[in-house]
Amino acid sequence: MELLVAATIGLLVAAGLYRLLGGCRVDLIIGLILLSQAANLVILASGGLKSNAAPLVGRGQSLETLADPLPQALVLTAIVIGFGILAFLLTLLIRSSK
Amino acid sequence: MTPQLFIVACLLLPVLGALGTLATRGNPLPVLAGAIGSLAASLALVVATAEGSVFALHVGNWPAPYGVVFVADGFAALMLAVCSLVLVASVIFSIKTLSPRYRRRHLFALLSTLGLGANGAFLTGDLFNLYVWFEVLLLSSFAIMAMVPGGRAHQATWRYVVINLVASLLFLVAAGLIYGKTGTLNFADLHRLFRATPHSFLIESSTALLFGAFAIKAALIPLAFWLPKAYPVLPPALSALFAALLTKIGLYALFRVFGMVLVVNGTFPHREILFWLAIVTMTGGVLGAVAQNDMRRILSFHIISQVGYMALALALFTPLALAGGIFYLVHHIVVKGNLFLVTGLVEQHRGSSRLDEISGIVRTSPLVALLFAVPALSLAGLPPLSGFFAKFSLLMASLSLQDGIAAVAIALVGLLTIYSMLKIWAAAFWGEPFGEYCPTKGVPLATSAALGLITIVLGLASGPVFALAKHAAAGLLDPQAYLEAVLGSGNPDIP
Amino acid sequence: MTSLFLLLVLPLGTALHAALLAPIVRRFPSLTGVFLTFLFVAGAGSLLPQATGGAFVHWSIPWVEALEIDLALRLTPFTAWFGFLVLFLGGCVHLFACTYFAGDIRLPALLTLLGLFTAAMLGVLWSDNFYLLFLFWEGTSLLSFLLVGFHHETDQSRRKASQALLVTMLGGAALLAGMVLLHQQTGTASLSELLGLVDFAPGTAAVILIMVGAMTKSAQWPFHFWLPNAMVGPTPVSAYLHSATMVKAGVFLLATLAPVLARHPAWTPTLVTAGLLTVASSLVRGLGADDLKTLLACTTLAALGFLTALAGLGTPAALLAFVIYLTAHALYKAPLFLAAGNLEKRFGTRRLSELGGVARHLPMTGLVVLLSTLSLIGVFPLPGFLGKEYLLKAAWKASPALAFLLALAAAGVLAIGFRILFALAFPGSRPAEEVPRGMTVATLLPALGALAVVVAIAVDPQLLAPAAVSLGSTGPVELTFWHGWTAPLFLGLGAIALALVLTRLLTVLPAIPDGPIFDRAFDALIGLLRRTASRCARLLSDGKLVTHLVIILACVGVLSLLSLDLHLWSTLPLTWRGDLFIFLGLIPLLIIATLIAARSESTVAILVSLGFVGFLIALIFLWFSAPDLALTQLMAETLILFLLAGALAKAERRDSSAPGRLRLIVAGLGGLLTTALILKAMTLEWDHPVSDFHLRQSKPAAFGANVVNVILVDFRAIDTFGEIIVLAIAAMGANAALGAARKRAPLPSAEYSPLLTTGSRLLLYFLIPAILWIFWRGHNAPGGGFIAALLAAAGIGMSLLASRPRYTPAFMRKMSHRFLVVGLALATLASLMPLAAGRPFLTGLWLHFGGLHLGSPLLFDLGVFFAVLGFSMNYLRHFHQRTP
Repeated sequence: MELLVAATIGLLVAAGLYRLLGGCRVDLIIGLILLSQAANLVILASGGLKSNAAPLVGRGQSLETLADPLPQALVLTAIVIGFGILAFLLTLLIRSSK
Repeated sequence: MTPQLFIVACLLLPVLGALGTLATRGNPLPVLAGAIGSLAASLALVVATAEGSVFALHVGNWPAPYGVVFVADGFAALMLAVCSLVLVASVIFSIKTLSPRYRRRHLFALLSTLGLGANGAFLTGDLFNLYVWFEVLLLSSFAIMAMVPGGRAHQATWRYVVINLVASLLFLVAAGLIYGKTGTLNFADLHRLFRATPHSFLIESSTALLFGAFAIKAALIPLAFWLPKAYPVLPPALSALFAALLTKIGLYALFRVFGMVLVVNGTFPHREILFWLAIVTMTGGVLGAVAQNDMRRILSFHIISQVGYMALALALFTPLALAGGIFYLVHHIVVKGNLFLVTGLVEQHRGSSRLDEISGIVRTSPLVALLFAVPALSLAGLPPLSGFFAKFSLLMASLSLQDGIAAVAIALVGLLTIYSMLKIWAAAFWGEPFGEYCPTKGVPLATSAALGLITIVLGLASGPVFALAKHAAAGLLDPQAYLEAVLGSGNPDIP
Repeated sequence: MTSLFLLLVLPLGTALHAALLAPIVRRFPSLTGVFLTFLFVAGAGSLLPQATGGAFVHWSIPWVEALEIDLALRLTPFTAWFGFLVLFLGGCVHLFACTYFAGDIRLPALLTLLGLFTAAMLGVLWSDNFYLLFLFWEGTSLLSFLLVGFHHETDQSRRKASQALLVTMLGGAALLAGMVLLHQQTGTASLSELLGLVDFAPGTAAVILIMVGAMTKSAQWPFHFWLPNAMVGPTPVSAYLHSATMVKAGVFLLATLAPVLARHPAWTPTLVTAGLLTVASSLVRGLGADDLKTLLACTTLAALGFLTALAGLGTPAALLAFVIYLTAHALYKAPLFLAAGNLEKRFGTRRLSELGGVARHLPMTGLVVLLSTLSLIGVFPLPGFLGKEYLLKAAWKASPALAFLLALAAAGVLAIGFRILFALAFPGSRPAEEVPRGMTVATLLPALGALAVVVAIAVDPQLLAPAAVSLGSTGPVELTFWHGWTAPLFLGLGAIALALVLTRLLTVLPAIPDGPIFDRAFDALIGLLRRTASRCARLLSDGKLVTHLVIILACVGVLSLLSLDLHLWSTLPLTWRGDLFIFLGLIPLLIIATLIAARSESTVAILVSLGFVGFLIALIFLWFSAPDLALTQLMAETLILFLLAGALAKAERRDSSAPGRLRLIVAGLGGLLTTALILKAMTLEWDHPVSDFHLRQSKPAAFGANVVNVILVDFRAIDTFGEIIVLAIAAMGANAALGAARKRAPLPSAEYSPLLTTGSRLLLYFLIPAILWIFWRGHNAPGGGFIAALLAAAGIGMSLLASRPRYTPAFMRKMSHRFLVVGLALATLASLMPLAAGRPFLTGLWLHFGGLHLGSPLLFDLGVFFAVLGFSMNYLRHFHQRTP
């Protein structure tokens, strides 16, 4: 399963790079969107993958079985930052097409 | 007032400055006040850390490595102080020279957040938090670039933005991978871990990404493509700040992470590569500068070349070289910022910065000529100005390692730097004045003069300043005080 | 010691005086000249007791201790004597300059530069610390650049001055490196300590570098070409540069170091050869030249060649000869140059062929020319005679063959002297009046000085003995005019005879063409440099962005691949779980969507596939126990797609992609590398004590069950603080890029639809409690400020579509601005509150009401809510306004 996830992320990266090297500005943006999605997944995956173990404490699960919450928090911050940056990139795209 | 409060001041005053500007429809004074305040706070930190003491602020009172820590050591404090200084100068210069267009577009709030990003990056002791401050800094710079009108500026902005975003993604992935491998993000904790484990080589593939990210931001050749087009399109008041801050943050990160956190057994990953990149960067940058015919462009290429020097200091990695590198950073930030400001003065005086369009400034405004000469000679490395001591210590370090390549590069690149400064001087400052010229304004002149004076003082008082740099370098080479401040007795108890 | 310090400051003071009191200097040039000359000559006079008394002075205070740069001065009889020459001639030059430039607006500038230059030269002589010496050394280079280029209006001037600077700076760099090497070898950076070392064999690199440094300064072959070119400077400058300063700094250093460095086998042969070659090349240029200043410059070159050869010999006799030759040359070269200036000023030409016999019409100048030229030729009993005599004597002692060579070379120089003498003093006639008195006096003074030296030596043969001894000379050091019928005397007489023959021949033979090969080589080098440079600049700044991206990615990728360690992969935990089948449904869909997103060109396909990618990733997040991420991803993805749709509709597409195959290779390798990196990270099972702490302490210490949210608003709240600042910057960035809207008209929209209006209002009413609930539960269950804010933004977006007349761009701008400010202010307040309670920055402060916990992290989260809302509204406004 780890192999599968890693390969999928690799594919996302490949797609992102392919798009990034497309040359026009739309390609650059789509490439960056795909790459940042991939980056988020990399962070989550490299911290270890667990299903059915959302880090919500006090629900009877023992702490050892819960998923690592820190990568999730990092990804959340990264998603929001990436979100802000992409929004800004889109304004650049709009300006250049004005 | 404890040093921890000064750390908080360095982080919060820029935020308050930005908020004040936003709340008062773009009035730049709150930003100026915030910048001056954080300059004062950082100077206080320089004094507090001068003897090698390190202060940690455990944010939220969470013990390290569980929360985020801000750490002020000698290196961070020095960088904070010079960057705040250039920020103040740049804000004053911007108020006096830029059109209202920039003010309407939130320039001053963005300058403040740019300063915030820099301050955060200098102070943080956490890898992911460093990423966050990098983004604060970067996005501010993107927004400032985006204000500049004109097709060439747009093109340059794209290039700048895309390459830097790629670097950010590399950084993000590297931070994630390093967490995945080590389970911690805290600098002190990471360093302790690497020192204690035989498997430190396992992170080299991830640090390669980190290295790439920092090297792109520091503008090391062949990763520097974003810089030469971007800086010349900015108005000098802003390029002064960009020149002072952006590449230097990349260098700072290289120094901090590679020169301290990742050091195991007296060396760090990719050091050999860094050495060669530094040599190529020094040479390529100055050659690029020699070919230009515009002051803005010459100065922009010089940045690359100078970055090479500082990277070389890290690659040599002896106490003297590191101290020289830190001194170089301090000197370079002041001098480079000032050179761009002087370019602004020249443009105001003669309406252009192209060498074929201006001539004879020595006649029409000897003061501007003098203001140019001081930082230019300092950059070229002439004693007794600050640049000499920076280059000289690197030369000494490379010769004591019997590293002929580095020594020859230092000397020859210095000579080529003189050559390109000579080109500016002979074309723009000497010669028969032609064309129209208008008198220069007092406040911008005074700003540049103040920075020039600081350059001279940095040179004449290089004894104590170099001693500060030496302490800072010692703190990187032997981070015991750093570890102690972050993880040791200053660490709050687990609740 | 104070007197030494005062003398160093004296020229600095005159420089400052000229700069600050420029109007007075311009108004009273001659008075200034007399005053300055008096100061300089008095200063010079005060050095005479030191020079002839034999006292050594040493003074030192630390400056940059870490680099061992001290402010250390040393005064020996020799340096005092040299300093005397510098100050004395400096006085004459100042007087001359004040008259020569009387009425010229640039006189204060010239005097300032001259004063600084004098101080720098004295610094070179008197520094004890290597690096202090280097400081002054570079100072003389820089100031001579400014002096030589004083007439910078002409292109010629600028070029020659630049050439001089580059050559001397190259030497400066070499010298510095050599000094560092010497320092590291001996452990001392003090000149006097170095000279005191007995058993010390200097390293080859250091010796070569120092020789190169000194040779560029003293214009020795092959660096000699800059000196004749430096004649473009004003006359007083040339006189000063050539007589006592600048070029003399190089030979000074060589002679000072000779006692130690001559131990190296390369020292003597290199310097003697270079000296002889310099003399030879000066003759090639000088014998055929017609310009008086060029001729004089060539004799300077020759004299420097002899001095270099003497320093190269480094024997006691050679060093004694060095002292007297240096003195003689300084005292005849300065008046000759100044006299040339007089002639040029009066007759408007420097061409020898046009100046025939003029000396007879300017009696004083003529007398000076006669005396000085005779000294140059070495006629008894002038100082030049002594110089030549002792030169040949020292050479004879070392090797008779060398003495022959030197005498041969000297004959050429003497021939130049005869040419000047015959042309100026004897034939032809031109009517003239005397030049201004100041210039005449200035010209006369050094010539009188030369006579005074002769008299003094005749009275006391030991006059210069202390100077010679302090330089390293031993044995008999008195100077006498008569040594009997010795070989050197015959050699000298022979040289004079040969010179006379040569002079005769020169009038018959055609002049040797001027061949500045080195000049051309220098220009070619500069040309090569420029071509390389522009190629390099093009490489760095031109070219397509895609190419640059490929280079950057390739560099980083290769570096990462090289350091990838493969042998751990066998331990990869390949789990095979029951839920795999569900997972197998998700992954293939994601792969398909990704491939479409990578390839498709149509806007709709891009949007749909990107939407799917985002949605499926959200599902993956959900699957791997990250519900908060899934929610955030969904909300952020939706908003991005909304914005993207607006932007894509208008974006133009241009094709400038990388070649298809390259694109595929980079993409493929990048993907593989990422996969490998992730797998490697997964194989390493380290403890995760940090997140263990978070899990354990979340409930008891931070009062929240949703650990992710607690990390965001408490454990690592500062990250979130940075994050909302990023959003605020992005909001400002939109205004920066697109400009702030000033329109007050309602936003454009689809046609008015009552159903949509009512519906959106209803939706908003529903949304408000939902938003509050999501916000509140965030601390304990998936939710929180960010998600709630995006939900609110979605509601407002809906209302925009419904075309509510209140929602003008100005209104939206105002609201988004306010929300942003309020959000940031709340977050800042929440971070600062604990400071008032004496706790660290961002510490959570809590109030407990039974099971209800209210704390500053909640306030912080509220700040996040408002900031995100403001950000989203700003973008909705910009994009809505611009999309059709």
